Amino acid sequence: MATPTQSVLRSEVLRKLEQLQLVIQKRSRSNIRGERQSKARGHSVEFADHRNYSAGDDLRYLDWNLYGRLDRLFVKLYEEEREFPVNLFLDSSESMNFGEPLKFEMAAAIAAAVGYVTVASYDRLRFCALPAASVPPSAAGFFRSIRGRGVGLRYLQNLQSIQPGGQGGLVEWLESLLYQPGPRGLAVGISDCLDTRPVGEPLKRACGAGFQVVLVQVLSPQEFDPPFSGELKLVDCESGAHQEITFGKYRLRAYRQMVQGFIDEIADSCRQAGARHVVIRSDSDLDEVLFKTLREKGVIK
Amino acid sequence: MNFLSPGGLFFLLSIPVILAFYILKRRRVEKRISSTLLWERFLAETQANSPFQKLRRNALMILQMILAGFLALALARPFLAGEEKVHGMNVLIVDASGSMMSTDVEPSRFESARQIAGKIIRAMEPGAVATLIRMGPRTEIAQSTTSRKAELLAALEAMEVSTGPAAALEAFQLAESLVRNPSANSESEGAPCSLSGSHDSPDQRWRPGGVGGAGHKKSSHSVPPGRHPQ
Repeated sequence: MATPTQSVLRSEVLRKLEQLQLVIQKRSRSNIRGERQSKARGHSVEFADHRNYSAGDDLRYLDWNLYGRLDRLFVKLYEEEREFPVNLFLDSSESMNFGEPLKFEMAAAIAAAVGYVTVASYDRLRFCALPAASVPPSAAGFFRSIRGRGVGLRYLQNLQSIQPGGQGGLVEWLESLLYQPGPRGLAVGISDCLDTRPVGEPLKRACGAGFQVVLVQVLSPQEFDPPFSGELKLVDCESGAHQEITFGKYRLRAYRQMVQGFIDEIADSCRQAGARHVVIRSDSDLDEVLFKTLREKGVIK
Repeated sequence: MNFLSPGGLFFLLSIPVILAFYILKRRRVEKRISSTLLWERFLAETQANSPFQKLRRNALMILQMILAGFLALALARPFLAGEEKVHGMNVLIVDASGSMMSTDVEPSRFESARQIAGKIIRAMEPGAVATLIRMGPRTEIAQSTTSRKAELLAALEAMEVSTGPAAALEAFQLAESLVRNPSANSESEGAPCSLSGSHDSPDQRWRPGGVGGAGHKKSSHSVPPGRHPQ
């Protein structure tokens, strides 16, 4: 497979990515220090509150200006900055290995960018590609928990070792989120959402469990406009099921309406669950996707 | 077999049309796609107005095609042309007038008439009898009533064309009398009378165009017998 993340690896793109951050709507509940706002008080530069001095408090944090005015001792409290865990999912099922250009290529590039942005802002990245067989065992361990700027490039390299194939994905990942230990955080799923199981329920449950979910739906131009017509026997690459169909240009409009209906349905599920939904065509320009579409949709800032 | 109105065969075009429906349904191009999910939805939404879906696995289609084929055949009005059969009492009148020497028909009108008469004689069934009359300026019986083909053919061969006009009226009167009283000079025992060549309408007494088959399309009877210039 052509290296999907190659275009992300370009240094000028990486430099831009380093300036970006994922949009976090919630305060971090993690216990590990990072660069995200949390409810905890601690020792960042961000002032939070005053508290009466009690014996034993660090004298460095006494507010001497207040003592001069009020003749009373106060301790300055600062916000503690914590890491924000990011769950990133890349659908590597067989269906992603379709389209011209490949859907997987676009999806992997987005995953690379989101992952890199996460790592660059000292957040913890939990990367997951399903089906599990598509990830080489050496990379699978690494993906479980990634943190720190130093591993950014290693992350990108490991991402390239994923070979799409097999069945399933998105729904399994959403369900696995519920069993994940530790604080909830951001969950970004990149998939074509062509799952036989409806995505609505698991999405609701994941959001209900405290995850801030973003669903990036990557579809190929061939799925918007089928390049074939006539009497066809369509074979599903994942399940092997076939579907006999008579299709002609005269039914193109009905087909497009149906695709739009399908996308709208997923968008509705996301809205109901409180998740974000972004549709991206695999033939879009990557820079535009990363620095415009995802920004406009409020995924990256 | 032949057809009275072959134009009806255009209806046969309906067979390939039916066949087209059938074949198109069967021969499908297999195509691997990312997911049939979208297509299942598409079908579910549009199935109601898909005309092809209803024709699926339909034995009725073959019956329809057969029916259409028979209809087309019936419209074309088929018939079978059998061997020409000559039976009963026959009188062959061969025009031997001078005009028959004309060669507008190869080799000549008379030779052509002789061939046609020969064909009728050869087609005679056992039991059929014939009389050969030469219609020249004088009408003469070239061969009296007989059922022997060899004699009739020999008499036909010996017949020669004359240079004079044809006494058509006389010849037909003679033929008529022969047909009316077959017992007078025939071995036949009152077989249904008909003039040769009019076997498809035995009641008709005589028909100039069919008489003797003597070049009836070849102007040997350019003048109707009743109005022959004497």
